[in-house]
Amino acid sequence: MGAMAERRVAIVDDHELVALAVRNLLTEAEGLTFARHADTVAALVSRARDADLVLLDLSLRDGSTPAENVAALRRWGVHVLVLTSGEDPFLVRAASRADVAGIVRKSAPPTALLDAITTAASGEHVATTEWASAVDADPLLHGAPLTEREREVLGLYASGLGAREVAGQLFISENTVNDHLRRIRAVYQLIGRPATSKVELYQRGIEDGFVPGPRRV
Amino acid sequence: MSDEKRGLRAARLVVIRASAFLVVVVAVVNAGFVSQGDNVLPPWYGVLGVTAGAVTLAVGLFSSLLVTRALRAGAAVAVAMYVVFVALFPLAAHAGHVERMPWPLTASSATVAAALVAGGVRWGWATVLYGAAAGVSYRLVFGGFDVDGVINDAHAVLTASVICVLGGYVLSAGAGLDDAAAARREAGSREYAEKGRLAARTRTAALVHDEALATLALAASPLSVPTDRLAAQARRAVDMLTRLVDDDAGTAAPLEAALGAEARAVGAEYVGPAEQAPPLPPETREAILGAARQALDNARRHAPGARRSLSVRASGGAVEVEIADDGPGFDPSHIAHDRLGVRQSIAGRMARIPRGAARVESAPGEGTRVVLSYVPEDAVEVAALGDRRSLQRGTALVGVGFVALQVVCAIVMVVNAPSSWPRQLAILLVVIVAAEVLRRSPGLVPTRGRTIIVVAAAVLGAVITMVAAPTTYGDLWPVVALAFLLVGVAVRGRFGVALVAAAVVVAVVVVGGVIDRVPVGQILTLTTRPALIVVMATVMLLIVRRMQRRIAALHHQAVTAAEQESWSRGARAELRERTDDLARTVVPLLSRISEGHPVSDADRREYAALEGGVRDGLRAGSLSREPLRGAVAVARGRGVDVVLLDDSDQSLPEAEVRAVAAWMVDAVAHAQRSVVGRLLPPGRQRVASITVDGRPLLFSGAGQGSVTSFQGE
Repeated sequence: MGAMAERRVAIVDDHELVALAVRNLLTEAEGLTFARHADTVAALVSRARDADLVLLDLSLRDGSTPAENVAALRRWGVHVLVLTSGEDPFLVRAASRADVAGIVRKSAPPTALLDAITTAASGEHVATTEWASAVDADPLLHGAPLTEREREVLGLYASGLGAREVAGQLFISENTVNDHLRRIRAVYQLIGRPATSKVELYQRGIEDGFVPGPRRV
Repeated sequence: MSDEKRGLRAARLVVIRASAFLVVVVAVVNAGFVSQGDNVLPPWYGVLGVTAGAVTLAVGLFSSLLVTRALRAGAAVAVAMYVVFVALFPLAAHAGHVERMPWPLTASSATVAAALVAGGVRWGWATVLYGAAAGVSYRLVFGGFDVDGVINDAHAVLTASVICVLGGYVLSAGAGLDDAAAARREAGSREYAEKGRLAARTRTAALVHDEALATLALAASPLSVPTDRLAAQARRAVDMLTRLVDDDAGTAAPLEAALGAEARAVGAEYVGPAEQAPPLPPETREAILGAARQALDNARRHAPGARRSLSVRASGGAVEVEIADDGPGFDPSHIAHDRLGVRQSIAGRMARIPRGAARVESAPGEGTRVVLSYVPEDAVEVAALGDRRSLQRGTALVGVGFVALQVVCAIVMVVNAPSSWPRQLAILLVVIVAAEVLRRSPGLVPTRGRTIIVVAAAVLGAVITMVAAPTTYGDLWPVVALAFLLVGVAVRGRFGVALVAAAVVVAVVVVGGVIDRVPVGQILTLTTRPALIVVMATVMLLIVRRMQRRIAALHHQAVTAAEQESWSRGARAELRERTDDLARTVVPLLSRISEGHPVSDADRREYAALEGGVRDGLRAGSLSREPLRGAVAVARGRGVDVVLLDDSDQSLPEAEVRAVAAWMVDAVAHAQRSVVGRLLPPGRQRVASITVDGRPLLFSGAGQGSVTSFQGE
């Protein structure tokens, strides 16, 4: 990653202090620079894009929903990593169905936070326990086209294991675990598209190559 | 017309159309009668009569186009014209030549229906009495006080009474429908408002939780943030949190808390209610509080040193507040009119709110008791019951009148033809027995046996009378009398039977009349009443029945809305409890942060433990319990990152959750860096898992809380 260009990170949070903390965290990180802080998504995207990744607070005071915010940021052309202080599963699910790189708890250890930011800044999926448990427990997932193995990976991840531990448990490679997680994320985001019936979901799954069968990735 | 009175308007339309229909019937029968009379009345009087009928007809025909005020005014004009028409008869009779009083003068049914629309049930009964009085007095003066005349008038009064009772029933059902709809609307809007409040509350509470959590997370984090900024942030969080708690106290402080405060303020003993008092409209709440304050003040001034108490009782939405003292007491009848205390401040206050009341019980030497009471509105039930009660009262009245009038008919006939007394007595007995059989019916709908008895009496009575008696109106009185019993059958829900029986009775009279070569006009007069009353009763009752079904549906909806509202209120109370909890645990630490002292590692761990605890309140569900909570707090105090997740659907048996928690306590105790404890979603092989420092364990059963690794035994 060191060879790559600097990634610019902006933050949308109505606590300026959180932005300050993130800024301090980023000064010690290689390949990441702090771009800007804004109270709302609207304020951030009102200017020309000056970031590659936006850290988005899950519950903003302006009454906006995670889905709207993520959509606006994606249109703006950035990756989105969601920050949460609590873990209201409904909000986490709402964010997970949107096109986000991942969901991270503000109270996570700083190293974990930095890892997540680095990963998300390069457009990769950040899998966390919070994300996995909210998704794993979502009744909507029953109808989703996931393989048994994928459900197994998700269950283990939701129980607090990292990719390496899951790989060890299932005797597969860490890369394969990450592939599974990426596909789960993509399938779950499909559910987030408006007006999905199970049938439609399945049809979309075929179109997008997500239906169970020959592995795509 | 305004939406609120739709039910009553529909009922008025039904009744005014019935009035128009009755006018047409009278006109037709009168036309059939023309041959009978030798009366010569001045043309202006005929014009007046026709106009009166035409007005009634017009109002009925165009009723749906008229606004309610015009409809009632039109009906009132029709009533007034009938009254004038009847009142001017002596003048017309004086100018013309009258051998007997024309019967339409007493055919007041149409006017009774119009009077119901114009002024309600009282106007209706007034019209009935007016018609009856006119009949008796004019017959005495102008001739026609004979058998046919008297019996005709008796039946006219009965018919008008039946119309009055049924029409009144339709109107009260319509009003009941409006009440039910209003209650439904009110319950719906209360439910809606409560939902809105809950939603707003939930959102605010979530934001405040978020604020507190974010602050604690920052304080606990080793990331460097300026202490003064952190302190400012903490002050903001404390401020928001206390404001949320205060707001809650302000909006939802129950009446009993306020009353308790009033009582304690003047040193009176306070006894709270067993059941929580319902939320009251603000003005009601203020009135009760103000009256109670005044009563307490009176007790303090007039009974110094006495034992004073204030007790609150609540049940089913009603509230009663009693302020008592064991002081010298007084005679309430001697309160001077200018004594503002009791009269205005207590009784007046309570009287000004709907359904509020105050009473003072006292006697010299026996202390004083002031009781304030408030009963919430439950318009729906009152309306539904009121309907039936008015019908029952009316039916009872008509029943008594019916029997009395039939006795009069029988006596008149015996006086007229003494030799016919056995026949008259027998038929009178049949009428009374049949009426009694119907009246004593235990349920609303008479049994098949009772129905058969009544119907048989009506039909056979008609047949026997037709065969035995000459075909004149007077001699055939039992036919009409027995037909009224069929109205009773219809009122009690057997519409079909009543209609068929009425048709049979009409057929019997027609056949008998044709055989006896009676003129068509007379057959018409003989058959109209029996047919008319049964048909009208059936139509009106069917309309009422439809209205009542609608009332029941609205009532049901109102109850559902009220349930929803109380659910929302319950959820809000729970939310408030959680906020209070949060304030209790978090505010002290946040206040410490807000002082801006440098943060030590030990402080950080304490903040982390608290932050985790608050987080658990959101996500740990049934895992947020002792002894696990304590063990987790200790682990967090050691710097372990603990996450507890409840993804179950809350259907696990309590014992199993307890076993899981105990099992997790052991695992948490050995953790060095991180713990994720989780209740698994339903439908999995196991119910819980815990991952300690990356080492996963599955809960294998409540038995001895043994642990299983993911890789199996």
